[in-house]
Amino acid sequence: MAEQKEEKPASTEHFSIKVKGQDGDEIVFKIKKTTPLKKLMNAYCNRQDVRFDALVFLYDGNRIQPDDTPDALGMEDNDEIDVMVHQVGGH
Amino acid sequence: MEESGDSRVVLDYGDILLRRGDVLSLMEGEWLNDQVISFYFEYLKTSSKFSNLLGVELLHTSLVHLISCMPDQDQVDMILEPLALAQKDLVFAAVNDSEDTSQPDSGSHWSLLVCERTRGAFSFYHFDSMGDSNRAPALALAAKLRGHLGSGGSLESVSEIPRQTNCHDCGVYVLAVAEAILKEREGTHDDPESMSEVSLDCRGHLHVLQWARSQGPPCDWNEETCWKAARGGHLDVLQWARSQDPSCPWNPKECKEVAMWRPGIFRWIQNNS
Repeated sequence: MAEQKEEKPASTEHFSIKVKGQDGDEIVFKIKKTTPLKKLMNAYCNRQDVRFDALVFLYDGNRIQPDDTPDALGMEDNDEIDVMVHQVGGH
Repeated sequence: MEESGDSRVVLDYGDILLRRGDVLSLMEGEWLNDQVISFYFEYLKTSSKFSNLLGVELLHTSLVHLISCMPDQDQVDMILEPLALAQKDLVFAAVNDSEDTSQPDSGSHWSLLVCERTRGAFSFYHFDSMGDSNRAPALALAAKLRGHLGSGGSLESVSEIPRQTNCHDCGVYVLAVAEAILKEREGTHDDPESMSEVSLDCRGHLHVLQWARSQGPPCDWNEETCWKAARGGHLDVLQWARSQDPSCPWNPKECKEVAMWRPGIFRWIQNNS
């Protein structure tokens, strides 16, 4: 989705990450490549008003750990993170 | 970050963080959540319980949830590609019946989907401790996996498995069945030492058996030949061995035991013994 943002050279250390909920809701975050992603995860949870541990964040299907950084995961500008809720079952 | 109460991390295992709230779902009468299932899958993978899991994939519950939610097969393929599932022999996925994908802690039932590759083709088996109540989500998931693998048979429900006797243990059955299948598989990797010379084992290749039996004199076979065919799920081998004159000796009861989770072969043994 094209959005209004200032164009920066590719070498910038900030970049955009799209966080996508399963209800179709998308939020774009700007984050430093070296910032632990728990900052983004916390911000998303606060915004959705849910507990931090109520959601699972996946990048390319892999679960993101709070201390992972975009750099460590090899993320690129405008990459997407999928957010999943937990499930239960008994009968 | 809130790290108190039920959010407190109790165990950090592989890429799984188990929090107090997750562990509480193990209490009597509680429903297992996806975290506990993912943890146990991870545990089966990484503990030294099984010696050879190279060809095995136990899919993360959140990953299964994610691909279940994806309308687009292209997206599913992209997500699954790094796992190289087409090269695996056994793929396990816990199936949940949750319909509201945005509601936390939704769902009421877990079952197990198993994809098994035999001679290049995938078969899909559904293990449901409540009969077949999770068939719809299992079918949907099987369709996505089949689409990704490029081929595969229809979903077979395995009815010869233990049924839960309460309204809260389906998750435990999923874990127990997955572990039992892995144990079974462990047994099929014979070391050469244990292969007796008198037992003709064609490893599922019918033409090998046919060749061995066409020699003069034919290679000996015995009950173990049928038993191994039953255990490996090689119905064609078993049928051929039993249809010969004289037929290969067998012990139908023992064959049935090892073919418990393969409906086709189980029924055949039952009808022909």
